[in-house]
Amino acid sequence: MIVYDLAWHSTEGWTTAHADPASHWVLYFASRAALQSDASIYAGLREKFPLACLIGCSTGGQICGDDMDDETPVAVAVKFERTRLKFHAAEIAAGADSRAVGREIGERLDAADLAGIFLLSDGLAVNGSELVAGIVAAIGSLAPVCGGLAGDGSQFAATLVGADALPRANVIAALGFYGDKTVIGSGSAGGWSVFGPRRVITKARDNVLYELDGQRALDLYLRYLGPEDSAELPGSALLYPLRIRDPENTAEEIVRTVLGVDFDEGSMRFAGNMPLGWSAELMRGSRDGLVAGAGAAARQAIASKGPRSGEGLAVIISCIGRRLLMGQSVYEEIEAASSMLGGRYHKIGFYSYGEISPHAATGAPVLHNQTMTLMTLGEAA
Amino acid sequence: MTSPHRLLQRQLAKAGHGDGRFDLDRLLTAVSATYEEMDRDRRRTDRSISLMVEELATSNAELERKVEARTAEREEARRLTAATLDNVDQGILMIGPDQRVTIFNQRACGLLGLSAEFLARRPRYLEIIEHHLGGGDFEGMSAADLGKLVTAQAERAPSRFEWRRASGEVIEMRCFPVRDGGCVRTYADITAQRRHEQQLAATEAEYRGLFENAVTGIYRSSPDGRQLRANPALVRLNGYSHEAEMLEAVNDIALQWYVDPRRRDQFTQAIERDGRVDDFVSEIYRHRTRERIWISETAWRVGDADGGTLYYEGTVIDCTARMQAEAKLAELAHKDMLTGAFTRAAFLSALEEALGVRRPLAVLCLDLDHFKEVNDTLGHAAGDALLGLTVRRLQEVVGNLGLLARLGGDEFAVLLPDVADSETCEKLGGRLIDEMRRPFEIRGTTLHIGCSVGAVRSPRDSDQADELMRFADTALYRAKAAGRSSLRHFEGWMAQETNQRRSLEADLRGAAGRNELEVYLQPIVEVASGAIRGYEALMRWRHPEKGLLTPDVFIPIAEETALIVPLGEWMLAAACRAIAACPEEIQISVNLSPMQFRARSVVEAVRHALEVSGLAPTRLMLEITENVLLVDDAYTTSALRELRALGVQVALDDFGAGYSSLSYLQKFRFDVIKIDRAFIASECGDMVTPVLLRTILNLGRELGAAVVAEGVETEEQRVSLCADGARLAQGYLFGRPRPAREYLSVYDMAEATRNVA
Repeated sequence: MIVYDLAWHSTEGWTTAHADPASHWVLYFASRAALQSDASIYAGLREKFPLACLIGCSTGGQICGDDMDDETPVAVAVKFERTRLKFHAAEIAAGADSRAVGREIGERLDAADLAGIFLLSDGLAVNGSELVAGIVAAIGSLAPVCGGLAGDGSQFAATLVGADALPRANVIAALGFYGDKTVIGSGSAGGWSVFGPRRVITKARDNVLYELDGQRALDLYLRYLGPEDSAELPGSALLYPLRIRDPENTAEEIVRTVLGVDFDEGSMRFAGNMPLGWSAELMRGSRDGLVAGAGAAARQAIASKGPRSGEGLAVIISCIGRRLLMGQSVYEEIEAASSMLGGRYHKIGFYSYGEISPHAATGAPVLHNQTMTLMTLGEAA
Repeated sequence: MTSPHRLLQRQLAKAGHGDGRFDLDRLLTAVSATYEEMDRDRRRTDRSISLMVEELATSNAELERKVEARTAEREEARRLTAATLDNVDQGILMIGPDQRVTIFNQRACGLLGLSAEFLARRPRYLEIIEHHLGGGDFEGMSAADLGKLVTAQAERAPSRFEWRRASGEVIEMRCFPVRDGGCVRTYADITAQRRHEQQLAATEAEYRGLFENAVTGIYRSSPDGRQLRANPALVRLNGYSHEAEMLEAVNDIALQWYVDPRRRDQFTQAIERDGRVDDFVSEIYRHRTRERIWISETAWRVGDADGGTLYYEGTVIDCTARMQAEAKLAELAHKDMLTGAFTRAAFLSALEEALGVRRPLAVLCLDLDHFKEVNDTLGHAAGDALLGLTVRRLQEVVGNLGLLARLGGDEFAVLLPDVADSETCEKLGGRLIDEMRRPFEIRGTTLHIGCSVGAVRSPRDSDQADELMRFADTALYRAKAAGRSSLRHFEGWMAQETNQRRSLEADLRGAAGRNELEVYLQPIVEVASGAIRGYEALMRWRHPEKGLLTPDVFIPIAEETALIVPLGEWMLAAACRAIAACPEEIQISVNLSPMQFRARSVVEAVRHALEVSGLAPTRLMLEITENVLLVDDAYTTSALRELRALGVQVALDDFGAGYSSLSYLQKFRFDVIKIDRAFIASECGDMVTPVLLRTILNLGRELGAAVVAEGVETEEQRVSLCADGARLAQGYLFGRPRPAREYLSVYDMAEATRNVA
């Protein structure tokens, strides 16, 4: 397997001379504004790599190397030697049955030698946890499913996904990797800590939360955010994710991120389901904690996945909430992950509205929030 | 300068143009933004902390409120538990994981002998054990047991333990581990229960002892015929050695136990109807060996609460011996014990049966002649021996032809089925007679006995058993009358005669009461002068229909039926009375029958007659024949002597007519000898009789006994007697027997004359 890093110049476009035009797969990320305004981000790649499957999306920031950038698009091209690919694109309208869509994707891509799936999904129209659950229902929980929900900075207005076509909203791009030589690793870690009293979800519907402990959840957030940060909802709500736990199975912890706020209804929309009766605790992040989490995620991704030959690709998908918290210091977590991965891996990634990766403890693919996730891709000898 | 902050380095790098110059505005903006971020971070953190503190305070207050409520609830629960604990019958100790008492109730105090104060201060469990040890509770307990008890850890402690306290109660402790590492121990006073158990065990042992050791078989069986329990005695009865063997083998009592399968139904019917059976005798198979024995069962029904039958229980005794004895008795009832011949009952039964099926048959009745003499002279043992020998001989003759029975005494009968002709009877009867004619050797004595036989046939003579026997008896009587050692067939007229006899006998019984008896007198005179010296009293019977009957008609009947005794007594009394009024020199002579001696009443009768009549004993003469002396020697002789002692005279009648008259003179000193008429009347040319007469007269003279010649009818005889020196005589010549009145009225007139004179 060979990975080519592609660089973008605002005037010249993509630098691809060193890259093999017969590459099989191109992955790219850029801001929504950039994707909407400059069609050559996609067109250039299409032209340079006519045979490749082109997958990309809008972000809350691009990761390249060991730093991130808001303006500059990033891309990699990959040439496989022992891996077969299969691509599937799906449409999803807002309010549609995410689970059914996920199941269809899973059924389309399922095969005996499926080594894993990488997918990028619309970030606002999808119920991420249902989508992933649908895929897992079709293919089982053994094969890793990695990827993320496209982002829109801190605007939360619209997200775009390029499914081997011009990036659009309401699209899901899924790529299956097949072969017994394909080695896919994954890692995920948070680094956030709970604080304050444990509350109970007393009113919620799917991924919309209304009340905690009989009080409006939105009021709780407004109090904690204060006037300053409240003005920047929903984005600022990323500072305080919720850890929700099933009282019957407290080992399973899930971190949920706010995706949207409805002031009229007094509800908050999260990136995944908020089951009634589960406990919910506010979380806060510390820089050090997040950085350590990034390192831990990277460590998981490279651990015990067998010998690889040639280069590897590491796709880092981290949560926009972490970016918001860390501010300019966000580079520290990318650095932490990057240094853990080492030089063998070409690194690319973005800040998303939701991360898809196998659960660190159970191994079953789930939707994460406020998490740094990594996918490492390589081929065995 | 120390190396700048890494962020600053990055900011510098981003603001730089790469050639050492950098965009200051951009840099400052970035740095300023960093400070603002820090400020914001700090504000957020402060806000978070203060909000959290606030919330915690609220939470605390809420918690406190809940704790208060919980405490109140717990207090209520504790109160409830305490109330419950104090009302249960068991002592309860709750031991915490620290091995200290946490909860206890009053009952525990009482049972364990600990004060409430002691337990209230939460002592360790070991302290309690030590307290008990000190009080002497566990004396005698083994070290191992004590170790187990002392173990404070609930998991290793016995879950149940009992001990006797020094104060005597038996306490049972149960231990239940509790999740937190402690335990709950409950204590109960089981003294009464243990005692009760001991009593039960003792009672059970008692009954078990009875059950196991009883000689009688004891069982329990199910209504459907299976054996449920059997004690050793019953097991042995059936030939097994273990109860289990027997119970397994016996599963159908009706077929396997009782010889007659219907017996089981009879048993269950009886027991269901009456609730029990007693002495239920049945023949059974000794189970293992199939040997048949008899058992007697006493059993009862055990019912359940609904009135149904649970099972039967009972006792079994082997009564085979009893049954055999009864069989033997039954057999004996049929067999005469002395001789082995059939009994009268058996004979009659066989006769009835044969008549019942209308078989022609003959019956021979026989009795032994002279048997009584043997009994009297040689004793009963000899008589018994004779009977035994008799039966043997008779049985030899009878063989299979018929059934030989001893009817009683010396009477025998032979039943001959299918014999209907007189020849066969004669032949068989003749053989019997011949056999009996052969002498017997008994105790060194040779005896000549002989028998008489009466024969009767059915259906010729009768078809009724009792009638046949009567007729046979009648025929036998005729045979005896005909001279013995002979056989007589029954003839119709015999019956008639027998009936007549029977009728006369019946009449005779009441004759004395009806004053039908009369005293006749015949004078005894001096031969020379004809002067009356006395009278012989003779009985006459004036039968209402038959007229005057002489003794030869009714005396034999009287003698056979023992009527002779009362008749004799009547005669004595009447005769004495009649003569008492006569002059003193007149004597009365009364005949005595051997029967009177056999009845042993003769002395008393004479004494009574003398007393009542007032007659002087010397005026009474008792005439006895040889027959008297044949009977019961010892008694007869002493009676005669006693009579003589009274003053009464005794005469030997019919001297010379019997067998051994002379020997009787040896036996007794007679006052008078009456010479039988045979010696008085002699024919012309008879040389012997006069010689005998003279000899007897001489004999009398020599012995000092007066001699009376009987049967003098002619003057010639009188003259002859005179010439021979006879002094007294009696006979028609001097006077026939006449009613006493006719002779005695003379004395009245004489008396009257005397009185007049």
